[in-house]
Amino acid sequence: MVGGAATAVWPPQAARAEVGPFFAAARRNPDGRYSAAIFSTDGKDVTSVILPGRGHDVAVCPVSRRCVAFARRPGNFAVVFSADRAETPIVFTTPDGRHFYGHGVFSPDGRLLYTTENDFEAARGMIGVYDATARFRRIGEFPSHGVGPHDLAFLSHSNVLVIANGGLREHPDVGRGRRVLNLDAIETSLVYVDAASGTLLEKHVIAAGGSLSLRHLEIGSHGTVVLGAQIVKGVPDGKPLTEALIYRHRRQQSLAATPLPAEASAALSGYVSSVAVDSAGAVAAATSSKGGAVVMIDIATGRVLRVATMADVSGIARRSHPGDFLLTSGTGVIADATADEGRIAALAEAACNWDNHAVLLGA
Amino acid sequence: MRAWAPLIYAGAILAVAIAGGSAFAADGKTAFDHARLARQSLDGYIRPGYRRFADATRGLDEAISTHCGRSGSGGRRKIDRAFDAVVTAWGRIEFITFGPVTVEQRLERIMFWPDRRGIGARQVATALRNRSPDVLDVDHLSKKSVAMQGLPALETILFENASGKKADDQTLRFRCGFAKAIAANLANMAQAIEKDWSSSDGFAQSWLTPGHDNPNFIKPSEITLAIAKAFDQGLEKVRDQRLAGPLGLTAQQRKIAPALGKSGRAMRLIGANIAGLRELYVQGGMEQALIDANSDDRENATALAKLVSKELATAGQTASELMSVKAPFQSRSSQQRIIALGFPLKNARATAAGLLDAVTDLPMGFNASDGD
Repeated sequence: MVGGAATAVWPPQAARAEVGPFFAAARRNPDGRYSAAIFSTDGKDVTSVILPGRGHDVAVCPVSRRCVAFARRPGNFAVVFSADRAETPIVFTTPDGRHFYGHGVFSPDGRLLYTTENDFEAARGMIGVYDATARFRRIGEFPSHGVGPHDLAFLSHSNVLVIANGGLREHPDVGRGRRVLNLDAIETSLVYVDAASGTLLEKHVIAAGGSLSLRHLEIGSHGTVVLGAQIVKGVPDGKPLTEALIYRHRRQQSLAATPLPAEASAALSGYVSSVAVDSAGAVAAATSSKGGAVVMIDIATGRVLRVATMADVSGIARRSHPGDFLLTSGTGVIADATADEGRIAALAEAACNWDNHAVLLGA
Repeated sequence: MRAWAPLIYAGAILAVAIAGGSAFAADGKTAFDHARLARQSLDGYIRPGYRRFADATRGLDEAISTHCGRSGSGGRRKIDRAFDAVVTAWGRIEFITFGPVTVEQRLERIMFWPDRRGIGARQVATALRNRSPDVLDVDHLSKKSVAMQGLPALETILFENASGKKADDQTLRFRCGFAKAIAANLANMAQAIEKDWSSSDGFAQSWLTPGHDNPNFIKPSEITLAIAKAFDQGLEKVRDQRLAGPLGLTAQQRKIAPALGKSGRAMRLIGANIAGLRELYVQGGMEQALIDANSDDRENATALAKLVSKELATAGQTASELMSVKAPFQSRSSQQRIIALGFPLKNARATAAGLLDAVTDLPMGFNASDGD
């Protein structure tokens, strides 16, 4: 866990990259330092910023395209940077008693940033609220109505925040903050919250004592939430690792896993690293770095469209064309994959380890 | 000059660099005998390691029960030797962080470190001051904070005398009672772990029979992955935490107190860690498995595989020599030797990672190692 004043550092100006679209991701540099970058599909940086520690996801402001790179849990820093380098990076941290879970989302008008956080002494999840117009001063928080909130997103054209509570209790002083302390009582849930008031609108729980943890989510068309989950090892009577790990949900429905054919669930190997939805909101894709695979499904029907393999693939982001996705891997590869084609096309190989997530900066 | 550059995860690039760009890394698709490594690691390293730990904790329990608080006839020395044996035995097996040792937070309850805010010492001091009866009973103690149950807590009780005054009888009796409860708690946990690994329907069965119904391992390669990660992360922990931490050479640049430094056992623990890693690598079967898996370039693979164990032996030798130095992290000359210890550990880790990369079906990547 990083303590004390954190500073971000601009590295020397890299070669100018090609024209967009651009993507953002956290990564590890060849010298072992961690950074977050805005880059183009030929692997060239538009800009990058050194992080005080390992990063995780990047939130992109829908209005200004400013990017916020979060620390990987249980880190407590976030770094704000932008493609045009108009201002020096802003570094902000959680207050004492909280740490980030690596994800955040801007409000639709770009004025506020909502983050998933751990109130680790009380063992409950919180959503931090930061003022993006005032250098990300923290202005409040509200409960996530569960333990271990991980990813979150807004339903389109609304102020409803959708949150995946992973259900895993962790404390920064134990096992470097990444050891599950409630293996016998994991309760993961999907909640819908009114962002303005923090009021709980709906909560869907997967029974306590299971070994499933809902982690990542994206929103498809018609308000369909697509979730990717992970099986937690070490749970007494835990589920086999081929348990289906993709969920689709709409409000007022009951929460159930999307049945997957054996090939797809085996590819996911009990661990979904990242989830993306295409530009049309019709196709969802889940990566598994452990399985070295991508699974794409049709959101409306749940039908598997393709299963493809790529070593240590994790980051996945929609591209502007429907059915088209960008992939990044820990070996530095940037690739393109579409729902209907046989091959994953490598676009570039950067000299870095791309981290768990990637995101498009486009419209 | 950065004496302690963080180690980059190797991957294919490093494998080629080490082998001088030969075809070594390119076609390493020889079948890796995962099942054999699973059996070898179990019989050659894991079971003996936990058996040693269980024996040592029983010995400590007995030594404290028999000798604590009693003057004369070298009783204190017997306790010290028994404590040493537990430190050594634990150090040699502590980077197995999967399986039975993770149940009921045993790992943290045995060794809560780093304790950046000194929670353990404070909790022990409070319990001693208040004479809380809870800590005299094993069952109650085992449910208390993890920071006050294990080796660091025991170290505080046995080796620290904050007031400097000679303790009165009542205080001594209480301290001994507390120490006895910790020792019994350790022995219980060690025995439970050993049992789970040695009984035919315990975790060992999961270890030896991967498959679709297995809650821990689907493919045989996942067991190899667990061993490889234990080795890799163990090397990282020794070098980047146990050695670099007390020197303030970590990213946070804040010095952390050496593990078991209060009792002067810091280098004993580190030496045990290095010896244990070498044991895991050689007796546990990794060395031979890596050589055999690279049969299309056996000579090169053998040289590199044996380089790993040689580097660990070198590091172990230095650690051994440093064991007789008082406060090794404080004097300049021993600090230099500790820094020098980092190099063979770094080489061992990088070389092993490069060799493992030739086993192409291992998801040892940056993200697959729980990137989320």
